[in-house]
Amino acid sequence: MQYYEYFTYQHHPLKRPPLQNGVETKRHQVAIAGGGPIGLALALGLAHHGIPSVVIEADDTVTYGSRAACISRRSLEILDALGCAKAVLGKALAWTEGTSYYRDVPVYRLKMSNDENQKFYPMVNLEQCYFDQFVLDEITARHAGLIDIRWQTKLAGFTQEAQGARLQLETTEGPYQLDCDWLIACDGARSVVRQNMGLRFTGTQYEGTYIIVDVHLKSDSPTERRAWFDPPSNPGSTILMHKQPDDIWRVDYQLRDDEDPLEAVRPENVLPRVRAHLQWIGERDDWEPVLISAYKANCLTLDKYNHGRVLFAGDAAHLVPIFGVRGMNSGLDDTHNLAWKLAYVIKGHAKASLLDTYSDERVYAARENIRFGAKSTEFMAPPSHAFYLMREAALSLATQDPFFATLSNPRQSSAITYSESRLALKGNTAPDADPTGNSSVGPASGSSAGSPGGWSAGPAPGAVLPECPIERDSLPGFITDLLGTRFTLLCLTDTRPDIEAHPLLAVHWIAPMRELRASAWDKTSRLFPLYGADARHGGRAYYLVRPDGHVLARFARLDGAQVHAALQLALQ
Amino acid sequence: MLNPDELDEVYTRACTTMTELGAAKTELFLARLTLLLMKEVGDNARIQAAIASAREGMAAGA
Repeated sequence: MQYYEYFTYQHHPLKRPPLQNGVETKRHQVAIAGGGPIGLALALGLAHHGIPSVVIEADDTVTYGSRAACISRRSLEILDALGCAKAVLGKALAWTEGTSYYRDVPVYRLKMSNDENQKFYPMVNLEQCYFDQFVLDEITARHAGLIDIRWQTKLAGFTQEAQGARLQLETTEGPYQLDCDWLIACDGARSVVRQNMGLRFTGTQYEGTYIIVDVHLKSDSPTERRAWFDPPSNPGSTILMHKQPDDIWRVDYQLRDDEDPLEAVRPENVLPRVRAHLQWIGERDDWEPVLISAYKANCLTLDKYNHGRVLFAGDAAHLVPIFGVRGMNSGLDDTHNLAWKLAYVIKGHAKASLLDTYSDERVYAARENIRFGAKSTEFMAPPSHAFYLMREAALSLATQDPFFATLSNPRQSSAITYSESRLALKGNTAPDADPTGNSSVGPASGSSAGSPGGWSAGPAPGAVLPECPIERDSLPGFITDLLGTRFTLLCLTDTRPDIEAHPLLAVHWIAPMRELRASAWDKTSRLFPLYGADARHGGRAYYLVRPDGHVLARFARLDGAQVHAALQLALQ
Repeated sequence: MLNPDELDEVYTRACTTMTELGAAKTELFLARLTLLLMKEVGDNARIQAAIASAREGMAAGA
């Protein structure tokens, strides 16, 4: 049968390097297994730090099809730092809301936070083939000198050595070997690297199967998340719909337990069910299928993402359910966490133990994502009769009482706070702290909010920066625009900050008033209160922020020695 | 706290309601009733304790 095609795949040639005795003559600092979204984004992230990499990709083009179609606000921030946000936003469809229906009654209205401070929408939809292509375009346009992509090259295996790894690669023109200092596994759910090392996922695999169908349909229906439980079009099933660019609609529906997934995925079984639903919701235009696949939810992770000179990111490291869109989004977060740490270790700015924090933070994030993803899955694909019964009870009550409707909240992906990380430092210079007290910095212990010397507002160590507009060099901008490849000290104060220079630190002064002639100022008057720098706290706050946008430490008074000590603590 | 007469009354009301509905619908009725009473009680610890008490002495199984 004929499927509609909306994307033109560029096919890239095989490239074989100069060899000596079957081994590439050049040794690489970083080899990335997998040229999907995670591998390409990591290569781009490393290139921003000046670190070259070679990407090993078995295919000759970007990922086929729409796959991970929802990009979160946090991912857009990361893409912005990588230089890809403009291309993504130029094509993607933004959305903030959603509706859940029980039979034909709307029972829950999803509204994602989208206040006036935001630079990006909470969620945009974009077929993954476009996502991959935009990242690849950015690599080709600006970083081709640092990123060497080996298309049509299959990783067959590797041997780990004390100072790196030797990869066994296969091509249609014969095999060759490649030496690298670091191997990063971004090779997906069926990671060759993971299997080669005999590492196993732990966690839960769910039985419920969803059929994922893309259809080409012209429709004026809004871009939002719509979920139907037990709809008249498909009694007993659950259906999800999302709009994607190029008039592509994603339709997911759950199979009954007695259906054979292999049978159910055949077009003659899929299309009538999609047709029934599109007709029932009032779509009148002709439509045609684009893609059909089957999906089961997984909540799986490795216990550790760094193993000597081999590290794991994305689906190679963890699998989370699609419900809540944490798959590619969490993988992108992995790359943003890893890129600066690996670059700093390679450049000698930090000890190799910094990579332990990559594993600690991202394993923690995976477990959080799994915790939320499991809750979404238990509602979207009840794993037992009891879950199904209670959902039926909740949805039927939700038609009369919105109290019960929150149970159907899809719990969409959001940034994870690394509050227990060794890189979440407490500073004893909180607003109300005893000025005679110990002024050292150290790992945070427990929550500072509400405790003596606590902050009334602002991101705690380990959290990402809440977005807020600022005016910078007389141009409108946002607080996250100030981040770069170095650590950033954000000084919210009416006094020009005076701090000794450090090669890994960029200092930005953000003033409460334009007249102070700082490089940036709080034009909306919302930044200072949002960051706990209101008059009650002396009108100042200092945030030391990591290159990936997570807060390392914060201070109520500026003490250069403390800032330098915090940096040293982070990098030791 | 319900007095013995009141307890007797709501007990009987639950029985007659489930009798009317029949065995097939009783399960969903009890699930709905559970959720409604959770809302009415409005206290996480008390609901958790009630779930544990209801479970007590019941063996897991098919």
